[in-house]
Amino acid sequence: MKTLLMIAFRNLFRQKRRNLFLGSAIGFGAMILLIANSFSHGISRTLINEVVAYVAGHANVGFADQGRLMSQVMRGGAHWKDDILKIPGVKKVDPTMGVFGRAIGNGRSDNVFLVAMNMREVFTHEDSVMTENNFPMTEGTWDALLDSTLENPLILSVEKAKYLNVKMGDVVRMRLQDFNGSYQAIRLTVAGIFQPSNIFMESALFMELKAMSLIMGLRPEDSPYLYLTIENPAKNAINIADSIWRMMAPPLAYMEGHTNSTSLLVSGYRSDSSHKAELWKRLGGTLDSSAFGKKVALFPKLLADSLQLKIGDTLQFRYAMRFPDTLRGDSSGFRIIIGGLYPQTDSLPNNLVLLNEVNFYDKFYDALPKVSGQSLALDSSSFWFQSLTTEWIRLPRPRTTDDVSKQKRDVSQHKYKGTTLTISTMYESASAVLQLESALQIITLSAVLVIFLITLIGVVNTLRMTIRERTREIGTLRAIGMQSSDVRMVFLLETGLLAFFSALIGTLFGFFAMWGLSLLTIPTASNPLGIILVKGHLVFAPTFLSVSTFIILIVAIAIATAWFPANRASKLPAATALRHYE
Amino acid sequence: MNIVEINGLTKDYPLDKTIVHALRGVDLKIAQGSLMSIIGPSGSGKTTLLNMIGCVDKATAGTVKIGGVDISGLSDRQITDLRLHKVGFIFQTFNLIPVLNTLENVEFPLLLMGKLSNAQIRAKAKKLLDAVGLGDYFNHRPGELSGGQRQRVAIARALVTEPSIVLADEPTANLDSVTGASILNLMQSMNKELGTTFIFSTHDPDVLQYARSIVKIHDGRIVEA
Repeated sequence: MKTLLMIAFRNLFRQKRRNLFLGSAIGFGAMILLIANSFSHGISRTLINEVVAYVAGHANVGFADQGRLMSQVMRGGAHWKDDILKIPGVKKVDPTMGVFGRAIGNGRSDNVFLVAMNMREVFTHEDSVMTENNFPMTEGTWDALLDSTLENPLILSVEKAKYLNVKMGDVVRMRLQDFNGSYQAIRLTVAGIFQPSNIFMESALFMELKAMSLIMGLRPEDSPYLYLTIENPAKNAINIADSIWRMMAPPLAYMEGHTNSTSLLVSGYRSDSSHKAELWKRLGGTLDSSAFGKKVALFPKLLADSLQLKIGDTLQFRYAMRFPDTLRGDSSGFRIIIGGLYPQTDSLPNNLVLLNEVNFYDKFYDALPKVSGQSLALDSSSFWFQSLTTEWIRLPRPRTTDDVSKQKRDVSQHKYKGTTLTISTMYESASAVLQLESALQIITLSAVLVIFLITLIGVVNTLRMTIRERTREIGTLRAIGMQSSDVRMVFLLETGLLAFFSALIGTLFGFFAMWGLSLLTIPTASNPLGIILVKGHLVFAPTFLSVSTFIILIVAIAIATAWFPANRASKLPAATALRHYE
Repeated sequence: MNIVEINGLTKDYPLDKTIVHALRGVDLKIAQGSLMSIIGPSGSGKTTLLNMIGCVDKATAGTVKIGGVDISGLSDRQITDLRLHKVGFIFQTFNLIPVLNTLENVEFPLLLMGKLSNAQIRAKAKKLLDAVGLGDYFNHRPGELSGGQRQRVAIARALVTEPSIVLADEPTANLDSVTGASILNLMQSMNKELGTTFIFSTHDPDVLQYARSIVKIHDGRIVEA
């Protein structure tokens, strides 16, 4: 084999000019292949790592308070941040929030997205690098968000500042809707201006998390949207999101309280038509439809009889609050209007009052109840558990961008009355980006493979020419005792070596070209290319795997193409080959 | 003992739309250690006969036995192996491998055999090159040698595997008379020293004096042996 390899290698230098042209064609193809692949990979890396990961975190835990899409808060969920941090692989959990609103600058106004920046918690080095990469400051610093001498410090992009006609120290007024559904008018002071690294970052305005929490009406026990930073996200993000999803199975939502001296449990029932119809059947099938109204309650008949209550009567219900406040103290209450009396059922406690979920969730989230957790213990697979309200509604884990969009659509169409919980990773949020990368890869690979096909026709032709020129030599080799398989191997090795060295040199040139191209600065403002640029530069992301795969692929295709002429050469009868004259 | 036995050998091959009858029923026995010359005019079938003896071509009819083995029943792999071990070739146009130097050209058949160590192969090749007077040309490529020197390398390559037969197809045709004589002298002395059978074709009457036996061939038939 060593001898064959030596002969093949030395043969490469026999037709120098011909091999140089052919090698240049293969090398050029390898270079284009590498650049095209690295470019499409760079686009997806830019979109996923620089944009999607920054905008959505490696994974995120999102809420829609009572089904309101833009009210991203979970009442009483503040402890979840610490619970999630205990999961191995979770490096950081960032509470944040964002709200759309109308900003008014100096004589100009625009729709903006105000985002909270969690500045009080310690920024890791990675955070600083990422922030600086995405938002390099042209005026001021990020620390200015903590400047207590300014009224609601604000940082915005150069483009947005220009549009709103504001400069450092100017006031931007903004009208927005808080988590409680009330409209707020606020004043923000421009404390910094940044140059966005890509067009996604242009429209966001930033203020400090704590200041924004106050404006948005976030209570200390509530949790805003959570962004997760995950160790090795490519490997762990989906598993961790699945673990969090399993951990966040919702318990039944109910209140333990009393009316006068009689203890009551109050829960809600799902109000969609299918659940309501089944509930009607299970509760005896005699209840009037008005009993399921939004403002009235289903009351247990036996208890009503003992308290001498009837349909239409009202009673005052009080219960202990999970988070006492200064306004209400440690208990809250509301009035219950009896809309229907249901017969005793073995599956439910005999003092359970059922409210339409619309009514129930209003009361429940307004003052979360303190519960023992024992009073309403139902099997989670049972009909009753499925039909009663839970503290939150855990939506299925999305697997694609389409799933994420569908969940958002369902929430925005008020399909859910309780607060929804969604857990997704950037791979689901950006599955469309990944598909875009795959599509780009297929297009570039197809184009490059066509180039290669043309090149490889050159390989076949060159080899046929070479074989013709060396026919007598083949005859000599066969005459002195070389097996036909060894003759074939010499030609295959020769082609393989030519392809390997050409691809290797082409790859080196490819790296050089990518380096050169990435040095070019392309203006991002109003440039559709801005989406794929980082700080105005093209990003190429070659990987060891892709580079080695391409080289192996090129060599393999060249050898496969050379097989037929090489095989024909090896089958030449020695006498015929020796008789051959050019 | 006969190293070569040929009976009723015919060889036809197509040339454009006609059939060339290169050999027309040849019978020949060649004893071990012979120094035989096959003579005849151009197109008489000398090269075809040598090719048949050297197992590089297949007979249309008849049998060829080398060392008692009928080659018609052998596979391509077995015939190639037989050539490697039993037959050495010297060509009119030298046919050295241009990318190998003198030493590597001589070593090459031994490397294909794969029986000896690299050191043994090298020593054997050097000894033979010394014997043919090319001790100072180990690292020269064929293109850097004269015709006579190339043919000496070819002789060394043909002998390096210690074959039973060395076939030389007009070995002096491309050499001047002095160099040709020195090549024939070399073959003669190798025949004496090693006992290797040498069969060479020629149409040069001056060359015949070196042969101990002569076979005349005309129109594919042996006319005198």
